[in-house]
Amino acid sequence: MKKVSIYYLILILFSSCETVVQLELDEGEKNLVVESYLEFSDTTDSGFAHVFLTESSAFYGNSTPKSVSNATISINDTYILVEDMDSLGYYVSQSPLPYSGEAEFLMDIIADVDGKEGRWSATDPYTSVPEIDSIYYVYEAEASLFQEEGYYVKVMLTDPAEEENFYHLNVLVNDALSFELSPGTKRSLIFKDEYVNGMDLNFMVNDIPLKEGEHLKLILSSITEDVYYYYFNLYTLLTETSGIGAAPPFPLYGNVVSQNENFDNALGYFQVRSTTVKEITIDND
Amino acid sequence: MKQFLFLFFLTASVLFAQEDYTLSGFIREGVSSEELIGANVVCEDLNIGATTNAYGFYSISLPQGNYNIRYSFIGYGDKVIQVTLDKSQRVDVNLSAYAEELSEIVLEDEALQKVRSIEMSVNKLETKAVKELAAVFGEVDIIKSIQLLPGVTSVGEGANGFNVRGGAADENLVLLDEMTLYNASHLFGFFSVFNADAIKDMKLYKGGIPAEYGSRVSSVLDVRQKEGNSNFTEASGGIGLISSRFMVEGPLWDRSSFMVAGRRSYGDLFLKLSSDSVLRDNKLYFYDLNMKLNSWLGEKDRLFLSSYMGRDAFKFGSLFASSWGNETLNLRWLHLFSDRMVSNLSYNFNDYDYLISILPEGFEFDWESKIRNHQFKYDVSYYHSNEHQFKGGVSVNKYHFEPGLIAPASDSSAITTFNMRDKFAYEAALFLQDEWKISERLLVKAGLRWSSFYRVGIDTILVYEDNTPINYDPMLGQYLNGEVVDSLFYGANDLVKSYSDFEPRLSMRYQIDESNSLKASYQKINQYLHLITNASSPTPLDIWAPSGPFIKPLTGQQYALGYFHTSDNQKWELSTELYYKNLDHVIDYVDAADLEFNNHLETEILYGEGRAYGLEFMLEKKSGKLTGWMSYTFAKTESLISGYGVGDPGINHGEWYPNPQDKTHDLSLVAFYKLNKKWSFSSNFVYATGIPTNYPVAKYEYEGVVIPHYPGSRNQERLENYHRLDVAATFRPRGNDQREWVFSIYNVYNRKNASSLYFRESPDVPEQTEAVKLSIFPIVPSVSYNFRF
Repeated sequence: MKKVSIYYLILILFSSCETVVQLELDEGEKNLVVESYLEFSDTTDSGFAHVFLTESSAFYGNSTPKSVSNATISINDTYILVEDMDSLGYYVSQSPLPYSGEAEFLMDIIADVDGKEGRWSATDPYTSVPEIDSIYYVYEAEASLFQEEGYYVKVMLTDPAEEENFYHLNVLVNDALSFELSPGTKRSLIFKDEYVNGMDLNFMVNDIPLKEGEHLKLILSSITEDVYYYYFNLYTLLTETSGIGAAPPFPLYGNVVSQNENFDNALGYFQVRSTTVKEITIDND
Repeated sequence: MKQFLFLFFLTASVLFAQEDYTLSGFIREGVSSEELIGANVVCEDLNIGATTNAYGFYSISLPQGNYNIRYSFIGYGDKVIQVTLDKSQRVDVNLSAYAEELSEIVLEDEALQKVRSIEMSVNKLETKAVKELAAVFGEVDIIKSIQLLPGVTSVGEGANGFNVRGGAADENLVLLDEMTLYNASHLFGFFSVFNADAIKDMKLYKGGIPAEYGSRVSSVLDVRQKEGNSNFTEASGGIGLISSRFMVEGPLWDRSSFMVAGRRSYGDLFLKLSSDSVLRDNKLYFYDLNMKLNSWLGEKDRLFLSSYMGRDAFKFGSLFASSWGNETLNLRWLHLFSDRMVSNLSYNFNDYDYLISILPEGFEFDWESKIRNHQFKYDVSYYHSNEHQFKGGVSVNKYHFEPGLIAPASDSSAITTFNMRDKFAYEAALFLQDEWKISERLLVKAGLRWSSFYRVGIDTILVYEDNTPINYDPMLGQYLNGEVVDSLFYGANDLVKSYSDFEPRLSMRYQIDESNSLKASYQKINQYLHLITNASSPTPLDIWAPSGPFIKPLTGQQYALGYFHTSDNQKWELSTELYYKNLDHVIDYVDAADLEFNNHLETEILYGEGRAYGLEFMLEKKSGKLTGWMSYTFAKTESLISGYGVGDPGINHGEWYPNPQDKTHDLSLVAFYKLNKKWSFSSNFVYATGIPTNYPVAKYEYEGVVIPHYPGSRNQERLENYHRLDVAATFRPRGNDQREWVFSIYNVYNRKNASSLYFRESPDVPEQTEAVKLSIFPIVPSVSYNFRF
C-alpha cells in the first residue's frame, strides 16, 4: 500500500464531501485497446491465446466500448487467432500452442480503428509459476472495522529463491472477482518477491469473509517484471492520481507498439503467463 | 575565532575614525521581562535610530551630549529617557503594554517602520492577531494566518506545508529558536506545530533574505519561543473542539526563567468511551511540547536551552498504524563582548521520523524513515557605527538520512528486512554582511554567503552507461532505467560529491520622504536538501534526500522591487512589490514515477529550470475601531523540463507548464472590529484561482475496469476558483485577556471548494463515467475558551 494511499485514507475518513461535476473536456483521437493473454497451464506444455480488441471512446460517452472486428492477429507469425462470431472483438487460438522452450513470444495485429488501418506488434517473455502447496480456510472473529467475522481462505506456497518472481492473482468467489479497486470495480492482485524471496508464504486471499457453502477459486499466474509494473502503474493511475497529495496522472501504454504513423501505441498489454489453479468450498458443517 | 573577529573588526574600524559613544542594551516587556524583537530606539534630537535584533539587543552611536531617547514597540506605551552620554552606556528598558491595545490588532510592520526599514518582502504577524483570526475548528494557527499575506499560499485544504512566491513547500526554511523543522504540520496540514501560546515572535522572509540564512531558496520562517516570565509565575491555556493547550512560565532563580507549553488533541479519547471494542482500539491524536530555559551568568553571558517535541499518531484497528514527529533541541550562549559586539554560539539537534505499521497477520511489518542533523553555528554582530552594522558567522551541519527500513513486526511475518541505503552529508557556510547607511535617504544591506555541501559515505553509487540513469524509449514511448555498468563503494566519510557556491545578497532602501520609500533586493541561494515527492502537495510520509552525484543542488535567484507608502496620519499603509525568480536544476519526476523504497531515485528524475514572477499589493488600515488589510497577488510559477537528448520529450512535451502551486490571483480581505472592551469581531474572505490539474481526453476498458486516458501534457487545466468567508467573535467577560470565549464559523456560506478532482465509473449508470469534486471542509462552527492566571 503506497504511503499516499495510507495518508489519503486517513484524510478521507476524517472529513470529506464529494460532488459530481460536469466538465468541458477535449476529445482525443480513438485508439486501439488490447487485452491479450497467452496462458500456459502448469499441468501441460501447451497454452491458449485469447485477445479482446476495443476502441477508446470519449470520456463522457455512455456506451459500452466498441469492439474492433475483422482484425488479423498472429502469434509468432505462425498461429492465427480467429474471431468468435458470437462475441465480436474477441479472438482465440483454435488449437493449443505448444511450449518448446521459447524465451519470448511475438504478437502481431492488423486492424481498422475509426476507419483507418493500423498495425501493432508486441513481445513478452515466458515465465514459470511455482506450485501452490495447500489451500485451506480459517474462521476469524471480528478484528477491526476492516476485518469482519467469517471464513478466510489461506494459501501456502514457496517462492523460488533463485530468481526474481512477479505474480498475478485472481480470486473468484462464486465465479466473481473478489477484490475491489473501488466500490463496484473489481481488480486482480499483483505482488513481487522483493521482500519475501525464497520464503515459505502463508497468506490470506479474501478480504471479505466467506460464508458456509461459498466457493473460492484461486488463479495464480507468473508474470514478467514489465507486466507487474504495467498493473502497478494501472492501479497507481486509478487510485493515486486523484485527491489531495496526488501524483500527476499520465497516459498508460503497455508493450503493444504501433508500426505505422496512423496511430500511437495501443493501450493495454500482451502478456505471456504460466498459471496454476486451486479451488475450495466452505463446508456447511 | 574570537581573536580573528576582533582583528577583522579592528581593521575595519581603522578605516573609520571613532568619535561617538555607544548607547546599548535590551528592550523588554514590562510584565514578563521578555526581550522584544524589532523594538525601536530613536534619539529624537538627532533623528538617529535602531531596532532590537533577534535577541532584543540594540546599539546606537551618538556624539557626546544630552539626549531624549524614545523607546517604542507596537502594542506598548512609548518611554522617553533622558540620557547624558559622556561615555558608552548600557540602558535596559522595560515597556508596558497598552490595556486598550486589544482594540488595535494589526500587523506588526509599524507604519513608519516599514517605510524606513531596509527590509522588504518581510512580514511579521503578532500572535495576538493570530489568536483573533477566525480559524477552522477555532484552532489558532500561525501558518494558516500567514497565508492571508501577499505571496503566501497553500495548495489547498488538507495540504501539508505552504508556498511562498510560487516556491514548493520544501523551499521554505522553517526555524523554531534556530532549530530546523522538517515538517511543520499536524493533522494533514490543518494545523501547524506552533503552539501560539509559546511563541513570542514570527518573521517571514519572502525575499531579500539576509546572508545569515541559507539552505532553502524561497523563504525563511523564523519563529522564536518565549523565554518565560522572569518576574513571576503565570499560566495560560485554552480548550477547543479539537485540542487543548496549557502553558506555565516563571522565574527559576534571579535573572532566569522557564517556559513549558503543551498541547494535545483528544478526538481519540472519545473513542475510548465507545461500546464497540474495535473503535476503542483506534487512535487519532497529535501533541506538542515546547520548553525553554534561560539564565544570565553575570552581565555579559546568557545561556538558553530550547526544545520542541511533537507527534501525530493514528491507528485503525488491526489494519495499520502510523506516526510521525519532530524532536529538536537548541543550546545557545549569548555573549556581549562589548556594548557594540554581541555573539551567539548555538548547537542544534533535529530529528524527524515517521513510522508506518502494516498489521494484517502474516505480513506484519514496520516501515520507518528518519532524518537527523546536528548543527553548530556561531555569529557575531558588530555595531561599528550608525553607518555600518556588520554581522558575520559560520555554521556546520551534519546530516544522517535513513530513508527507509522495512522490518518484520512479528516472528510469523513473511516479510524480510529491507533497508534503503543510509545517506550522510555535511553542509557548511560562512557569511558576512554590512548594513551601510550611505546617506539619510539611501540604506544598503550587502552580504555574501559561501555555502558548501559534501555528500559522503558509507554509500554505494551506481555507474550508468553514458552516465545516463534514465533513457527514453521512443518505441514504447516511456522512460526506462539506464543500464548499470558498475558500482562504486565509498567508505565512512569518503567524499562522494561536493558542491560549493557564493551567494550574494543585496537589499537597498531609498527613502523618498517621510512617507514614501523605494526598495530593491537580490538574493542567490543554493538548496542541498530536497523533499522527494511527485504529489501536488507533500505529505508527512515523504522523505528528504541530499544532493549527490545525480541530484544537483537547486539554485534560486530572486529580484524584487518595492514601493512603500504611509498616509500622513499613519492610519493607512500601502506596499507593492514586484518580483522575479529563476531556478536552476529544478527536479520533476517522469510519469508513473515510483519513489517509494527506491534506492535509485536518479532513474525517476528529470532536470530543468523554473521561474516565478508576480506583483504583490497590500493595503492596511492600522488604527481605529475597524482595522485590517487587503492583500492581492498576481503571480505565475512554472517549470521547463526537457529530456536528456534529441527526441526525448521531457515533461509536458518539453514546454513550460504550471507548477502545482501556481495560482494566478490570490486575494485576502481581513478585518478586525473592536466593539468595546468585552466584544471584538474578525472576518476573513479569501479568493484564489483554482490550482492546476489534469483532465482525461478519453476512456477505455481493461479487464472490466474503466480507465481515464490522459494526454501527455501536465497541469494544463484548472480546478474551479476557491473562495471562502470566515467570521469570529471574541468575548472577554472581564474586559481583559484573563478569560475569553472565541466563537467562530469557518466557511460561513458552506461553499464546497474543490480540493481535487477524480474520475470514476458512475455508480448509477455503469457505462457512464463522471468527474467528482472532493471538498474537505463544509461550514464549521466552533467555540474555544482561553484563560490566563
